[in-house]
Amino acid sequence: MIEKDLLFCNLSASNFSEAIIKMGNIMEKKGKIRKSYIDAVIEREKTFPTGLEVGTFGIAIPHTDRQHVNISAVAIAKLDKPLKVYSMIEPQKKIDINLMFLMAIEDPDGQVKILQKLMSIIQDTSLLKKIEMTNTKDEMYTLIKSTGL
Amino acid sequence: MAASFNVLSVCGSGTVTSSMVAASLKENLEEKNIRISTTEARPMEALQLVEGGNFDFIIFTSPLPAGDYSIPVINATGLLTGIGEEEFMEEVLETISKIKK
Repeated sequence: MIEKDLLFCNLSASNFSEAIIKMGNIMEKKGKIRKSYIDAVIEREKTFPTGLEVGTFGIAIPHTDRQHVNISAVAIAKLDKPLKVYSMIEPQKKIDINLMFLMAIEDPDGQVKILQKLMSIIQDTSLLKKIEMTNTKDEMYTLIKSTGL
Repeated sequence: MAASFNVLSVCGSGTVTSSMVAASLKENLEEKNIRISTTEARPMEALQLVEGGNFDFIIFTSPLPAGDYSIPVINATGLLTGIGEEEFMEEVLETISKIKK
């Protein structure tokens, strides 16, 4: 499922929305998402943010409803510097994130296996650490590909 | 036949994250021979669904609006991140053990 074009090593963005737009634009260019997807993700973050603290790691898993998705895909970014994102479980709390998983899931009920694979990746702190230390898109690709995603 | 439990799984969009934790809980409980059926929902839908449905407990990853849910509500963020997963499973098992079927 993972595609090299959807990986971003040292993505530079001044805020979280800008990062979503940069990643989403490539997803749109590749036909994965509809035009409405990016705005829908950003809008959803305002009410239901997706920042997660995984041990000492801060990550975010922005996503939205299936009607904005053409083909399931996930874009993964290692940020060049941490960005502030609100916490999923405590929406008033801001956390610093270094990694983003922008998820476009066409059929969440039918694609449980993909979701579980993504879950096992975000839970794997040693893998997250390795992704954080990568310097190229190729290194990121090799690491993530090895998980079977 | 073993009892089966109805679980309402709540997340922000009512699809992606709730499906993740529902599938994971289902798998964890199957290992213990406990069967559940899950329904995914958004936070704003939860209270109405609980009032109209036959749910045994709720798991959530986005905060639930205040209300009288009358059934146990369990924070499932630990299941999502893996941090605090054991505590989450303990809470679920304790909740299940108290439900009379």
